[in-house]
Amino acid sequence: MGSFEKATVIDGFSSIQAVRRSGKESPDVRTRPASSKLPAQDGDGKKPKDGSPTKAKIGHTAMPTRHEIVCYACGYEHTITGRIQNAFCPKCHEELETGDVVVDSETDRDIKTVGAVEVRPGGALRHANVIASQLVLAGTVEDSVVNIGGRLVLRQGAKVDLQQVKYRDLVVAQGAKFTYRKKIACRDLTVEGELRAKVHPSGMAHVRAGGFLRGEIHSQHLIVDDGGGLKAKVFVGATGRV
Amino acid sequence: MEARESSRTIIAEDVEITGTVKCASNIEIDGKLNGDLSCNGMAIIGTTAHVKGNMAVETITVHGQVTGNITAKDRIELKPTARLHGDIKAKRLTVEDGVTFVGNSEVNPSGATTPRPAQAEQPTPEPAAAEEGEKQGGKGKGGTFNKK
Repeated sequence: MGSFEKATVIDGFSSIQAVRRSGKESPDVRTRPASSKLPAQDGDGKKPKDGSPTKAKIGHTAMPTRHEIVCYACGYEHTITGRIQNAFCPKCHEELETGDVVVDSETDRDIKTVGAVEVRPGGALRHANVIASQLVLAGTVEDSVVNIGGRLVLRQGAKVDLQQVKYRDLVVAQGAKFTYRKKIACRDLTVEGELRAKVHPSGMAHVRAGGFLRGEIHSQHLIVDDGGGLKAKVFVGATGRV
Repeated sequence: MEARESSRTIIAEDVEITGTVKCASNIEIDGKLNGDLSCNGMAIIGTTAHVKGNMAVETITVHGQVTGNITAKDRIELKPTARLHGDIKAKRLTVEDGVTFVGNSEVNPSGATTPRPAQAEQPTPEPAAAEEGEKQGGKGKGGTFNKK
């Protein structure tokens, strides 16, 4: 422990040690699971006899979270590491709004953020323009222009015309039942609830345990977890692209 | 009974069979089978296997190529090297990334025969909606607009 006090240079390793010493779990710091072992161990490698948690034990690699940011002013994609506080687009120097937005009632306001937008049950976006990196939808989207750079998460109660929404990845959350009669095109598709549609994911289609996909799937990659349901016409693999 | 469960018939890589194969216990196919397979145990279709025919099994793990329908009483596992052209029907299904699968799938782990539960019978408005969302009425305008 004493050796930590002697650190005079604040480098990444010292920072990680400091975070671990503080004993606080920062939400923006990802840590390796405690069960996984790394070569780096503390001094003598002895375990505490009383079972108390060790303090400042080295053995975990903390990696700061990487945020993929799409500037809503110019569309430039870049990555920010760590906590997002004040973000400026490196290309157009626009100051980007980084906060998450919660909508729990009807609104027609325009929303621009590189964070997430959550529309809660009872919330509605009507005649609104929304630009965000993620949309978690448990309410309604009507007559709005929605541009999501990342994931669109459909929760129980979501009501949306997907043709009004630009998104990259689609997640049908656990408990949600969603029916769409037109083609759904996205990059990655994750089904944790129930989805009935014709889906064309260009990336990975993943039906998780408890999820159910009905309809039709055209994809290069498909994973069905044990306990996932699939009642569909399937075109997966080299011939999957349509 | 234990001996029967542990026994396994192996059709080696250099073996080609034309006709129907019926097997009361487990079977592993590494060669070619032109015909149907009926197996009361577990079937393993190896990476070098080519099967052209329908299969009715208890449980099956596919690593190789299958052209035909698979009906499993319990489980179908499609491993990354699997290439399946045909329909599948089972209680449980596991598909790993890398699989080629063209056909119809009918896998319902919950075992419900009707495609949708009773509460979801009401027609879904075009083009998309979640059933639960129908009952939630909209609030008046000018509501809260919060930031986390």
